[in-house]
Amino acid sequence: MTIGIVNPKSGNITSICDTLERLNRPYRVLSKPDLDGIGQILLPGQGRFGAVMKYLRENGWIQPLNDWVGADKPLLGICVGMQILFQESEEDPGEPGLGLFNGKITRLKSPKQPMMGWATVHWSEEGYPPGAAYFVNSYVAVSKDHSIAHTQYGEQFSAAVKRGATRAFQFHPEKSGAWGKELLEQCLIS
Amino acid sequence: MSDLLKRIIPCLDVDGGRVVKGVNFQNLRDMGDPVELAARYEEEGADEVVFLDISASADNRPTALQMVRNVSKTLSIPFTLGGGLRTLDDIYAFLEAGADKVALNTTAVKNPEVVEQGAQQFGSQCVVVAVDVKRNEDGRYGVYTHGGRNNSGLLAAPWVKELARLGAGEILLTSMDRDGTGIGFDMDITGQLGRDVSIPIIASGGARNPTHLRDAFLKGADAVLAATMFHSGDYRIDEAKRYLAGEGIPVRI
Repeated sequence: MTIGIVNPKSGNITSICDTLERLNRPYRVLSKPDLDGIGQILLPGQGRFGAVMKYLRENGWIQPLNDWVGADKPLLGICVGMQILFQESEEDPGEPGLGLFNGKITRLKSPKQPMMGWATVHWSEEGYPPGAAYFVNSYVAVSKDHSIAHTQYGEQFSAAVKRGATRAFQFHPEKSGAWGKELLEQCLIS
Repeated sequence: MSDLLKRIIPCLDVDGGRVVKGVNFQNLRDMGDPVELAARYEEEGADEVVFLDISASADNRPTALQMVRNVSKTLSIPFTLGGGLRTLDDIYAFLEAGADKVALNTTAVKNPEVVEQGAQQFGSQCVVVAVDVKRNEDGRYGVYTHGGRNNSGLLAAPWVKELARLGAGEILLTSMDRDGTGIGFDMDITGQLGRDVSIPIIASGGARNPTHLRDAFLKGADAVLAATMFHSGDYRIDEAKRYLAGEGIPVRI
């Protein structure tokens, strides 16, 4: 089965494509929701909340994504690809998110912004590799709704969420070295 | 309490797609191959890698882009490309090729709007500004461009704060007085900016041993850039990290 990488064109998806190549995972870059033959949707972590939501809305993604998650098919969100699964964000007020998770994305109350670099991920669910991930973000979900990991920088926030076959990470597993590779191996369909 | 770890970033000088500064590694087939070297540093525990294209020009742009493509295919940690970027199109080309960040230097001084527009268009996280400083006779730090040859007339502290306001995601702060000396980072400016500025500061210039790295972190640096101490083979990154962890510095091991 093929992984469908949603391409909002609001940032480059070269890194995630190169990563899937390294992991030998067949993928297709999707500008429109042409989901024939797609076994997992990947929402990459590039761009800002409002720009990504606007792209999804204008390109007819909202209903197919809701149906996809409603049918509990695999979806993986990364960084802003996690944030848009929540209801709204302080980054772009007035632009609704997909609302698959409860809560609002808020500005990270941290010593420095953006949060940039490696930070320890504390899993609260078993079966994930312990270690540190590469984070790049100024906004976070502090909501504990379906959170399966947390990280602290200034304040504690949700580093990962999971609900059925939907998983999402605030960090960038594709930039998190051998640890990220292991995690992706586990979370991507093959 | 913070889970954020301090970063060690090896820097590779490249020219025409080849590593040029004395790298002395054992068991490496090709010391000049930036991809192979970067992969080696990733294995040793580098948190990021910076490539500085030291003779960047329009002529060798295709070579630099191809290098970035090759690095992106291999590396699974973030990397930055610096050298010769002048326009938003330049930035876009390198990000599209797979660089996670670009470093602007002279361009940021000459055209600060490139920093602002780059941050708006691509996100602050991918706009690093390299600030080269020298201590002036009055003890204040001046900002230099063109590889340290030209005094811009700017002072380091207000300029770095201005860059943060414009949207720079990170500052690569190089002491031109210390660069290549091996006597350690300039702690005064590193500490001052590391504490006072709202964006991360990468200390650069002068590191020769793990003690120097520790001192920079204790003073307030968020990350350190080093070349010779690792290229020479005198220290491995994992060794340096074990030392730092023993000294109470939070690093990724």
